[in-house]
Amino acid sequence: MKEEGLHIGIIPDGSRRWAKLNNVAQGDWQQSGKTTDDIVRHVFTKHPEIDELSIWAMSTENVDRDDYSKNLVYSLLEGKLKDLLEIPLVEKSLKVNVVGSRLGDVPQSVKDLTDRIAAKTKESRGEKTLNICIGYGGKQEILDAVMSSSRWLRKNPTVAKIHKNVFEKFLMIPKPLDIVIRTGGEKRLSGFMLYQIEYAELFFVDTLWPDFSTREFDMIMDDFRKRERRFGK
Amino acid sequence: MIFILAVPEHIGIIPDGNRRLARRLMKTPWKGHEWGVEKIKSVVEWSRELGIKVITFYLLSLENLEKRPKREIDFLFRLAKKEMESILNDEGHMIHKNRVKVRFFGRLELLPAELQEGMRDVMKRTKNYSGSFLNLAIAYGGRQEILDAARKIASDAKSGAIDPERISEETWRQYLWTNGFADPDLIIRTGGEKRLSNFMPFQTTYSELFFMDNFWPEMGKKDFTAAVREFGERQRRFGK
Repeated sequence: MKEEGLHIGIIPDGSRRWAKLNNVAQGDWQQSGKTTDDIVRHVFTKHPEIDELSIWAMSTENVDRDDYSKNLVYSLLEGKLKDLLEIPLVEKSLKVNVVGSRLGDVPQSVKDLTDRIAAKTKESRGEKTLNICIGYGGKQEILDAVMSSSRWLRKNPTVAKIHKNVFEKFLMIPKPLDIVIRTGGEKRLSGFMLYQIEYAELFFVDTLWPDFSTREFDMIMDDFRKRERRFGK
Repeated sequence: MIFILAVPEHIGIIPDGNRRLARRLMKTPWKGHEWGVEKIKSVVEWSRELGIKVITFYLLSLENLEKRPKREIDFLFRLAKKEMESILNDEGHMIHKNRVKVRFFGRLELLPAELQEGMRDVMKRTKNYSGSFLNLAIAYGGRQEILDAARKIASDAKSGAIDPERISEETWRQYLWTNGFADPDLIIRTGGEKRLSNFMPFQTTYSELFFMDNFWPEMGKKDFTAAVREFGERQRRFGK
């Protein structure tokens, strides 16, 4: 039973519905932001068995939406990214990656922050990693890796066949997932990290993201330890 | 009369639990696979009744092929061969009665030559059936499928057959082992585990996932119908 070096993926769904149910204005992402803060902090301070956390902040499809709410997600992201730059965790032991195929379409202010974070945490000796997936989608990640692999092959004409390691290097997040948590009640993966989800244990919870607590996260980790993972054996 | 809101056109099934059930009943674990085969046939018939057009079963993964005991794998190959022969020699087999078009996909070249031949014959024999469609994933692995397709595309790009800067999803899909069939709307996994185990990762992007605790040979018609009904409920609640 794998007890350490875990990679957790989170699909934080349900904020819109939460806003409706709680009579909060659509686009007021404060509670979602708070939950994100709490969970990230909790994971990296209370769960030493977790090495990597990937949070799907925005999909490739959402980037295209001509939405009032999209802009507000960006301002939330800006706020969060600014916060991340301040916390000591980031300097000392945590590497932060912002990944996505559609990063180019994200507002400049967000891009600047992601660049600053990348620069700041590049030197981190940390064995812990936080991946913030913005303008990200598993399908596009694979298509991008395929195109990159094709270009690579052209530049290496003596190679007969692309090795697995070459292809995987072109993925945005190379490490396979051990756990995926999706809040908000839907039981679909919606294209989250297709290649990496191979033998991940899936947890679908009805709780809407803004209501998701660290206690519920711990219960999921307890559950995970009880599961029997066979990897095909 | 069963009232169902929206019926999936294509269901993917991970029929897990054969061995655990057999062990529980104090039998050799792979005896469970025999019961598993019978259940597959029942489910194909129930699906027809419910109006489901396509079913895809995840029968054997590349990981299984690599890691399971040789005795189990040999048993599975014999079981498969027996079923192929039955389809080819018995006109009364449910495949013919229900006019089920059968298609195998995966790294079939890793299977024993005899079995490959039987599979080719079955596919040929059922080629013109259109009552329903049964796809069987054998020696399948989602990552390997993706890697294979990436290799083929890279080499086609190198030879100039395609433009590597403009690989659309449509083009990409033509390189997958599942080229030609639509994505599953619903995935059912029996046996209690909640994971995909490398089953069609690219094609299950928007599939509803349904997990059942029953071991595969234990799944009854009511359980299956309940899963299909749940799919309809979810469509109503979340849409597509």
